[in-house]
Amino acid sequence: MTEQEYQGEIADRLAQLPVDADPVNDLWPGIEARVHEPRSWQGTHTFVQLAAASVIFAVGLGTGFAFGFTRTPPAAPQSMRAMNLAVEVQRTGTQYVTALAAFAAVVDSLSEDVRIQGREAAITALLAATQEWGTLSGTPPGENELFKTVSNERDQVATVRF
Amino acid sequence: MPEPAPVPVPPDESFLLARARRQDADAFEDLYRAHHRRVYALLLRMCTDPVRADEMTQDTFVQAWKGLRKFRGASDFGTWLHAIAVRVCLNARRSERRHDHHEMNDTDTYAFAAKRAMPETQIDLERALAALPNRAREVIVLHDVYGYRHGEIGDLLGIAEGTSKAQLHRARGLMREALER
Repeated sequence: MTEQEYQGEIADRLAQLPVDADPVNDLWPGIEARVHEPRSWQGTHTFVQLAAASVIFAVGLGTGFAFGFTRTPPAAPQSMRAMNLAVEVQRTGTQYVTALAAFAAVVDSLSEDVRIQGREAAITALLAATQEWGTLSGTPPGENELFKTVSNERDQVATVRF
Repeated sequence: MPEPAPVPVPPDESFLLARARRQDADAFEDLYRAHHRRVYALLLRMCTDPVRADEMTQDTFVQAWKGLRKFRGASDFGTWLHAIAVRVCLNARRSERRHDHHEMNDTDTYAFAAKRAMPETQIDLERALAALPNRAREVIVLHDVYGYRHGEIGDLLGIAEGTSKAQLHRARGLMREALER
């Protein structure tokens, strides 16, 4: 096969690849939180806003000099903190699923002990997640069916091991 | 006999765009639902890191929301989103270089993430794509997977058309070596 033919073949194969993919998590809630933030620097009143911001900055600076600067940073608003935490949950969720997929792909080549350890680690993380899910959704601990199901599965994994 | 439930008709995109321009977040969510899978796939292949692809997809749609008034419909909305996505990816890469950020170069981890996100994909090709140098990968993904022309790629990546052609040739050559190994 000539170089040109081979290049053509690669192009043909790449053209067959899927062009859509599913993220692990629903990304919309993170976007929604950000699109509802105030649009402070847009629109037709930018100049007025800049002027107002300058005045506020100057007043703030003057107040700072008058009362002395403090090294203590202002506390982040609660909503911002919640959003950051939600982003962190999403990030670690994606990392967790990716790691699990990588583990699942090589599981056949592993010894039984390592496979059991991997299953145990995965189900322990799932169990913790279902517990947090119960808290977030306001489900009383005794009624968290998701937790009970995963808990039973985890017990079975442990039974197999010991 | 009960009547069959009516099949929901997707709202016309231009109608959704008009509503979204008037700050209607519900309309924008519909646009997001219609386009996010393609944007995510592009970013996943360009940055080869599923966590960064999540973040960049969100950044892309937030920037699109903020810039909706500038979108006059000269191009397709999906194409406009792709242009934003590419810009987001390039900016992130520049920023990461400045902060000495090490990119995830684990092609296996990327390949598994790609297989999870696109079950019908070919894992050998995904692995070979992930192993390419960044610029070569960007060009071959845009040209061979998403069907962009060299002129369009030049505009998107800020490179000359000839550079795009050279990078494509290089990328295919490197793919060949990787696939024959």
